[in-house]
Amino acid sequence: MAIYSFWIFDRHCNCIFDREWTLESSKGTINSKQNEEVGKLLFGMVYSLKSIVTRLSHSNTSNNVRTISTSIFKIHILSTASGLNFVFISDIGSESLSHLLHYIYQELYVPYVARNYLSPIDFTENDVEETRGQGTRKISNPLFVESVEQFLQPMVSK
Amino acid sequence: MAGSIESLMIINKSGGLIYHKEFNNDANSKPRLSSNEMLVFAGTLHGAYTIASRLKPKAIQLKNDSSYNINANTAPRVPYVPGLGVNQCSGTTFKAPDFFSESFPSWNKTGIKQIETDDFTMYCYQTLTGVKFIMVTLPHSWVNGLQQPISVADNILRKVYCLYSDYVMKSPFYSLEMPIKNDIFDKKLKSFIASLQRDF
Repeated sequence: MAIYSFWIFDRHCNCIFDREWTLESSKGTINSKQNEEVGKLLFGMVYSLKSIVTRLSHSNTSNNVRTISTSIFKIHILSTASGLNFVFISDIGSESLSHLLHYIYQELYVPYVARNYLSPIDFTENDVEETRGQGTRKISNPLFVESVEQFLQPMVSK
Repeated sequence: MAGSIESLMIINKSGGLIYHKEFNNDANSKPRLSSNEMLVFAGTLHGAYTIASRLKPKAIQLKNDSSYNINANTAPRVPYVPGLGVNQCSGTTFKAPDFFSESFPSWNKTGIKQIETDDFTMYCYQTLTGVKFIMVTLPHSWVNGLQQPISVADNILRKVYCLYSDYVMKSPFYSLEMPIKNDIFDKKLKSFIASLQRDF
């Protein structure tokens, strides 16, 4: 099992946190500018698949996408009721990692970001960012970044 | 296990839905989507499929950058899984009793192969010419319980491709890229899917 990257998207389609691990020798990137485009593609794909999958389901309750596999990587998705999306990109051998995503949401995101008085409730700053998916503010809380790092370290690709 | 394969779709190389069949035996259940929505669905899937190839993680990119050139020798191979359905059309086809008996290259190197949702699982097989075969199964069907569900699905869908090439492509009345309306193909496909579900 290897995790290549971890993303959080808010309800305005903005990426509010991204972490990519690259090589052993380098530390990878946190909230990098380079990953902005990739983030948009990733969210766009997840969002459009979610919408068609919901319409395709028999039951009237919402139908969530759990994983999307290609021949070289696998995407794991957790959507929360508040419209956040937690996403992992891992290697294809991994089982469903939704429990890890759920742990990050419950034990790291909620205490360090949602319950943090200094962290904004909404990461968008004005109307333009809200409607056009051009938000620039990211989660930079060191406690959150650090604990995500610590939690995922054993599972990161080597 | 009857009924675990819900439906089958064929999407042409430009993202148009050219064939859609539901295998749900329950006559009361209404189809999931109207035909118009199905077309939107096929187009969206086609787009998402293309986007997936742009999302290759950097860790993989750095490891092997040269492996992007696909040809018959370097394409990853899908193992042959024996015993999936029977070719019931001996005499009218050039193919062996089980359609094929060797591993085959996977042309779907960077696109979506499987989508798992709460309600169903979807598998996608792409041919060299860009035709996509989509299979929707129940979330707890026998395919998903196997060791390598994606390989099994590829094997099944490749057999559907064999039927397609025999009965659709060889039909003199079929025009390329257009919706498939072919009774023999319908019949053969139905019996193939039925034989598949009897086996397990």
